[in-house]
Amino acid sequence: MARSKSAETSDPTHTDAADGANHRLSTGVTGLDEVLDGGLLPRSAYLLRGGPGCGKTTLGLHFLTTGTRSKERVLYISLSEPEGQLRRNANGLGFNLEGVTFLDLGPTSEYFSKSESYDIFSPSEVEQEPLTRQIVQAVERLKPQRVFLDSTTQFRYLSTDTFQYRKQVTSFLRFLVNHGATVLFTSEGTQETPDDDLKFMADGVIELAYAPEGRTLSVIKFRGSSFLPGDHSMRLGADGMAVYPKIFSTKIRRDVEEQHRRIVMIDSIAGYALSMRGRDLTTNLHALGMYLKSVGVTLLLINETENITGEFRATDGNVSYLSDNIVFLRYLELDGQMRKAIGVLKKRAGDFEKTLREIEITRYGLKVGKPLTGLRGILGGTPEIIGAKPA
Amino acid sequence: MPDARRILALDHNKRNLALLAEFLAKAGHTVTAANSLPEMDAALQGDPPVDLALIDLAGFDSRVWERCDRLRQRHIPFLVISPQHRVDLERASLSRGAKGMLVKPLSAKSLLGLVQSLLPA
Repeated sequence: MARSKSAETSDPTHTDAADGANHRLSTGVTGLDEVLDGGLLPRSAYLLRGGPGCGKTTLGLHFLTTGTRSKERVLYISLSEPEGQLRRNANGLGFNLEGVTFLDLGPTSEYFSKSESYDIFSPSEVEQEPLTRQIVQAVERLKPQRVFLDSTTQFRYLSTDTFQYRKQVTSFLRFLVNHGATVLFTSEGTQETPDDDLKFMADGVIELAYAPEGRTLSVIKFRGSSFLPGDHSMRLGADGMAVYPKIFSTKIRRDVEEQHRRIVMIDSIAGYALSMRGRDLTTNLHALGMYLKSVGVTLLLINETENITGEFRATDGNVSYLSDNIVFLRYLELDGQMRKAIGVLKKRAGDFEKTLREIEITRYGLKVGKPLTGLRGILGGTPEIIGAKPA
Repeated sequence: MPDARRILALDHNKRNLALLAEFLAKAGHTVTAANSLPEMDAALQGDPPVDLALIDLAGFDSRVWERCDRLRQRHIPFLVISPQHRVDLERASLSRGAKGMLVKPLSAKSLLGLVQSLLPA
């Protein structure tokens, strides 16, 4: 796919294709479109918040390169990182930046070496105008459909006061959106420079965080669309970013609330774990269990044990503490026959029968037999009849 | 464009001087930029005469006051620009005939208003 910058700017045909009413723009990040109920709504501005190293630039690169793959015109406005460095880092992550137009507005190295500092006017009076002019020119020339702006924090230092800053950012975002762009702009919110004001201006807010438990992504606002709430696990790897939506717990919750379910059965924990793609299963199940309990719903968790017979374990993956009651089913080998037994291991607030009983699956359903007494080693799977002489 | 007024700008910092000159020129004034006291002396010899002077004190020693005295003798209005607000500097400037002392960073809008009001009609 060899396309020059000039070739794509002279191609106006797909502007209209992106304007469909229900059209969504893919972010290019696995799982994030799912969180965003299909993707970003076009011609809107989205705030991407997060501290250094949280993956803001990586998400931006996904966003832009997904656009170039469908031959959209895309613009990267950098106010901090120089273009050369960005290209090197992007190539290292396997992004193909062909077709991405860069507008590098960061200070050049000459700025320092020539000691071109001044104090006669404030930076807001001096820098803002040429900066604005460059952006306006680039946007009017390219008419980008996707713009990634990294980062708006720089604008804050170029404004005389907070009021001016808000006014400028709002009008700037409106200018981009009016020119047909879907905008992703970043901000580093710190205690010294809080950026809560930006949340109100944006049509959507995506927050990235890096906690000791792992990286997370959460959507906290999305005008005109629903989204999957909560902290979703996120990974930054050799091939960029991937998001693992908390899809199941969210769906279960929604279903319980809308359909007024009384019993929920998850069959099985192993399958649930698979859908979580290796994330913290216990924490997730715990949260789900607590939630269901709080709304008075009974949760049945099916936990398949790996061993047919052999050493007995209550559950795999340390999930036994989650349950109030544990009923177990067990194969046993008796007289050269595979038989099944059922027993109770734990029952919160109440007594229960300590013996095991044989069960059979019949055409009339499950049939529970008499207590299996006179046997030992049942839990081991190969019981012996007490009193029988060893062969 | 109305008849251009000649403004003399003195600043030790070249970048400051360039910004000041650019800003005033954009507002329609003819600017003579001086980076040093000898350059200022030369500009004052020029014809037609200077209508207004802006003197940034930063980087100059007491010889800058002699120039201020000279401006007053010639009835050229002038503003003094200082990096910080200092009462002694302000007093010295006003006693030498300065129309006022401005503290950096200047607000572009109020500078322009002040310049306009000080230029002879």
